[in-house]
Amino acid sequence: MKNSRITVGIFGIIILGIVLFVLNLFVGSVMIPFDDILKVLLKTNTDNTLSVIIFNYRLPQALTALLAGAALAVAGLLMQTLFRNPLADPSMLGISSGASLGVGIVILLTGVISGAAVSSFGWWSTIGVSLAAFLGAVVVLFVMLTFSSRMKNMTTLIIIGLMIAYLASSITDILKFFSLKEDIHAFVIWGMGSFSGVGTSKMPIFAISIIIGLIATLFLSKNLNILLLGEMYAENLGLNIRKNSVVIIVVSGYLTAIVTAYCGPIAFVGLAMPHIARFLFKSSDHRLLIPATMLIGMDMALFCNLIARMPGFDGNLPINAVTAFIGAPVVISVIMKSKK
Amino acid sequence: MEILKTSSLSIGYDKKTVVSDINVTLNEGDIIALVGPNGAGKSTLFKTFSTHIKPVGGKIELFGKDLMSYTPKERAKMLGIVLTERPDDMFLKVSDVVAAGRYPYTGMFGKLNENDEKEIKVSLELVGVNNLTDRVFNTLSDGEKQKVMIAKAIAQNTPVIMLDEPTAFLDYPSKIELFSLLKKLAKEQKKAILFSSHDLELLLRYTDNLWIIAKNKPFVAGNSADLLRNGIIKNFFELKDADNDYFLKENL
Amino acid sequence: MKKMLCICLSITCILFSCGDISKNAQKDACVENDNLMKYTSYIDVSRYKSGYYVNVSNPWNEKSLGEFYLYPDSLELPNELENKAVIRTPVKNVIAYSSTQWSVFLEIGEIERVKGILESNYTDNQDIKRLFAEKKIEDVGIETSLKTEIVINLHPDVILYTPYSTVPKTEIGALTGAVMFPFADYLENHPLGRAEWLKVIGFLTCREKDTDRWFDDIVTRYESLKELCKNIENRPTVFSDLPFEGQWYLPGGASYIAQIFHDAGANYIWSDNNSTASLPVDAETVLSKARDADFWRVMNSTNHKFTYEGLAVENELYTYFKAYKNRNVIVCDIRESGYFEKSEYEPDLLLKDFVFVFHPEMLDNEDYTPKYFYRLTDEK
Repeated sequence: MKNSRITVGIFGIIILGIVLFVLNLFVGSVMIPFDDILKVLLKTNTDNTLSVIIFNYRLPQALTALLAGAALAVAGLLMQTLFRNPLADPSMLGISSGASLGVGIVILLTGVISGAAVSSFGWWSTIGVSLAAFLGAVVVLFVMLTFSSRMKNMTTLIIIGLMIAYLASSITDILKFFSLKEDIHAFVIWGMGSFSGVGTSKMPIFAISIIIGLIATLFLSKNLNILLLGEMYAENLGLNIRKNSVVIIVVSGYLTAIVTAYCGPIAFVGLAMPHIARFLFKSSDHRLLIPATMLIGMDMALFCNLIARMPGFDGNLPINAVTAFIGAPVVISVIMKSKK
Repeated sequence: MEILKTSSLSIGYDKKTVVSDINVTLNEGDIIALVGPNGAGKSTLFKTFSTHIKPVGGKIELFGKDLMSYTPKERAKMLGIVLTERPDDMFLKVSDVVAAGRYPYTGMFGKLNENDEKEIKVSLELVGVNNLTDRVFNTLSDGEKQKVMIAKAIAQNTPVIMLDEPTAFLDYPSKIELFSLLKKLAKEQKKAILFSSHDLELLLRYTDNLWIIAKNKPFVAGNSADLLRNGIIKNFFELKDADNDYFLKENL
Repeated sequence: MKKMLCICLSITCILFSCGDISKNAQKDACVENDNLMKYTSYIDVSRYKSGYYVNVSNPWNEKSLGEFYLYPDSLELPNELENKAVIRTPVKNVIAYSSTQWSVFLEIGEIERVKGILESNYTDNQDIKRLFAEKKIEDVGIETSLKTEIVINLHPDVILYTPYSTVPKTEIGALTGAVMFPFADYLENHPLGRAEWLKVIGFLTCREKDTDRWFDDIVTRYESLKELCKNIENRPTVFSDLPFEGQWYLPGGASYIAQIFHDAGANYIWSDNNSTASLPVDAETVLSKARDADFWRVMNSTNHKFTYEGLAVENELYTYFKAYKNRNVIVCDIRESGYFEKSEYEPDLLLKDFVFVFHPEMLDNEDYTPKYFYRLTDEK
């Protein structure tokens, strides 16, 4: 009975994911009639414009959404269990802010240094932005690790994370203050989030990096389960609290950093998806929750990407606006439920 | 058989000593109550035994070896704890909590084998909560939660079990029930049980051995009847004559 | 008490009548009906007695950005202008917000009137750098954080600022007593309209004869090039810009660059769009509409030259465009060419660059070296 519920649930999420993935390929600002889609799929004429749109533009975008969604959601789950706080997510540790600061430095400061707005920087900007986000996230991660290895108290760590986030965003604000309008505009656009930054050329490196991180999380399930009892019990059961915290922070920070680097700071996926997984399966077993959260994160990201690129208008909605729109109600309902 | 032994042990936080010169032994089948007022150092001693904090001075030996020389995994198989803190996860089930006791014995993904399942079942039955297995831990009563946590410690299969304030939050019948359970564990499972409490009346009635701890006073260990008879308890807790007489009459 | 009341009443009467007078003065008979600006949309200049009446409007609402009277310093100011925004010409101390302003002062040899400029570290102009070194021009900060105290200390009589729809910059005017003059050149969507703003500097420095001649030459050259391409049958198609985070920000069909494409004898793919602002467009829409476009114009603000390989590394999608495949990408190296500083007053050269790419035969295959835009080739 119990197992069948899980099987049905997982199966349902996967089916939904496949449907959303296919919709992501078929639907976009350019309307492609169904017959033409079939023609494109059947014929392997790769130089047809429709096939370029589907395979070279929509496919990498859908794959990016899928991977980013899984990575952010599972990173959120890790943070929530580690800090035993249902509202924890990677942004809480200042990792996202660190990434934003890195990007801010590149976008906003290159103008000052090189004397030109980076907004039309071409291929330099894309690579520079990714690298900067990653470096920014890693620096914050390193700072957090230094603190976490000295401190056993998770609440203190959360407060330090929040303070680092404030610090990073205030530095970003100061940079904005001295920047060119074009650069601020570029920074704002980056901050809206997008799944189209990866593309076919950078897909292999992005996918491999994310998949490595996702696999790593599977090996954490046992320790995460023990953490649910509380730190003192976990410690008594033989868990090395500090070492474990460091590993969890590194893995979730790594995943967040990579996604932020390529897609911008995407909010709410990490916060809301673990809750959906928990409520759906009424479980706290991470051996189930980790894969379930990944799958739900994938579905969510694909859905948001679909909404953002709704047919009927030419432009893209910012991904962040869509994820917040869907994620915020989830978070609110979780708070209401847990306070009962 | 001697399980745990301290010599000239000083406990405290950082370099600040709370209680010093503790020389006690914990033997197989012992059931010992650690008694003292709040803030006297009961939790500090527990945390020191569970290696959450380091001793300020002196030595703790577990099976004749320095406690700190064991790996965390090894210690997890020797010393189980039950605290006043409770897991508060929304979906954590009773079976999950007790299964956590098997953590030191399972592999990389924490998969339970036949033996683990058996140990869990036995623990649940021994404590008498096998009917609660599929309940969400958070929805249990305080007494039930206490029992489940004890079942977890039993599943952990350690020669020593330490319980911090196990009678707190319990009504009187549950307290009595708990003491008989602890006695059963000590007798049948040959476990050494150490628990803390500040409920003197109950302790004098139901336990044989007391460790008395208080700030800036020498640590005392002994048979509860002896300690009562020679006036040490009266002095320690600054009892009025009338109360002391009552305890003498009730317990001797 | 009665006396007091009387005085009060009479003062009120005077105030009211004054108000009436000033209202009438607005459409003063002295403002002549001779708009001196022919191509601009957002500025009108008319003669007013011995000076000029200037009205700067904006595209956002009906309200004017300001009315100004330019009046020679050597003459006595007419009484009715006492309470107006008056700029005495030639101006003495100018703060210039943008390079399109000071570059005209520089060109007509009146740069000593400019005392402070913004965002000075973005310029490569050698003359400006020298003036900085000689402390003849001061850096007064950037748009978002003006060095207010330095501005006050420069005693400006006019501050040429760049107007945006959002924040009105008036505090600095109140602090310095300078006239805040909105230099709305960037809003103009016709290349000649934008260039015509150079005449405004002429009016301010009493060098209108020179600036008129300068502008007329531009018009002659521009119009004759445009005339050349007017009746061309074979008009290539063109689209513009690179995407950022999956989104293209395309120039609207009524924008500056769209006008130049048209005048250079090409068809801009988004010409049916009437917007002057940039349009956010999803990459797949651009791909489906512009894939077969003949030419692709991009801006490069890096210090590195673009290459076809580099573009392909940035985004593999680029390689599917016909313009990419046929090596018909048109590039402007913004920094190297001084695009933002100079191109505004050389629309004829901008046009010629594009004509040279689109219709080289029209230039009689002359040996032309492009000034701003050139066709990117595979040669190193």
